[in-house]
Amino acid sequence: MAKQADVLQGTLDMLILKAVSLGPLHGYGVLLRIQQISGDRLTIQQGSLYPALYRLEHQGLLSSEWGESENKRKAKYYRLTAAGRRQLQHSTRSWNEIADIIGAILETRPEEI
Amino acid sequence: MTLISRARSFLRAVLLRSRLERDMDAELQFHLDARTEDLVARAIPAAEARRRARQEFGDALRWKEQGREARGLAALDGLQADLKYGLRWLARSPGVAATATLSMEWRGLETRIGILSGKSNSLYSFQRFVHSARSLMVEYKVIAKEVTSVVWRDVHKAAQEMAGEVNAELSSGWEPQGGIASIQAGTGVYLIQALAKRR
Repeated sequence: MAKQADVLQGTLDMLILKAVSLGPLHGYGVLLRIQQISGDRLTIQQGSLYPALYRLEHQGLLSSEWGESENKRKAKYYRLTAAGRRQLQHSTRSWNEIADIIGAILETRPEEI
Repeated sequence: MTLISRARSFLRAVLLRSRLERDMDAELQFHLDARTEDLVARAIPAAEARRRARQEFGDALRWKEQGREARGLAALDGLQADLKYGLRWLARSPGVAATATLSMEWRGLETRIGILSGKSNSLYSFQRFVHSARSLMVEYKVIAKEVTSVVWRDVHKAAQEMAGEVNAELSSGWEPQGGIASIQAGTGVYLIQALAKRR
């Protein structure tokens, strides 16, 4: 298995929005989907998902409703709102811009200065 | 992300507080159960699976507290604690709730009030001075631009500092009782009160 990395501070909200954008999920499902998408290369302290989910719901970026899980248990499912979709697009653009800039800085060689 | 959605979420959390707490418990329990089942499915013994699920989850109390903060409830909890403290203090000091008209006996305090009202500045404005024979309260108003748990903590801290300043102006016959902070519902207007009682 590839080496695992901690989720960068401030990026958990973006990862949750992305995971939920692929379909409604309960909290544990969000964790599994992020692990699945990352190929198990990201470690997330599991409980920390919940304050983030509540914060995103409070901000109107996610909505939630109780439903039935795959193992027939009552579970709270989150889905992306229109505001959440816009926020995810904005966050994705910003992340890509920053990643480009930082990447370019780190790739710089002495002869290029 | 709108103010309306935040306000709606906050109100729902306040009005349906016990349901919110039950939902949080049920949601976290679902996570622990689902994780345990996954570990058991990987041939890990049930007891070890449950222990590992709890360990991976971390401190549930901490996550719940942060969950309340995320919904703006931490400030409300602080306010309730302060109100309880204030009510207990008032119950021990009959008569203090009435705004004072200084009696002859208390003329000496007028100069003190002058000093206390002089502590008003762009941040704090002196509101009133309330006293009984054995206790007194000096109240200031603080207007903040927003209502957040961070501002609430700052105001709470300011109340303690103001209590220290006010009590420094009082004679040695007074025993400081600290400061309390409260917020006028739905506004950024905070009241901070410095309390003292007769030694």
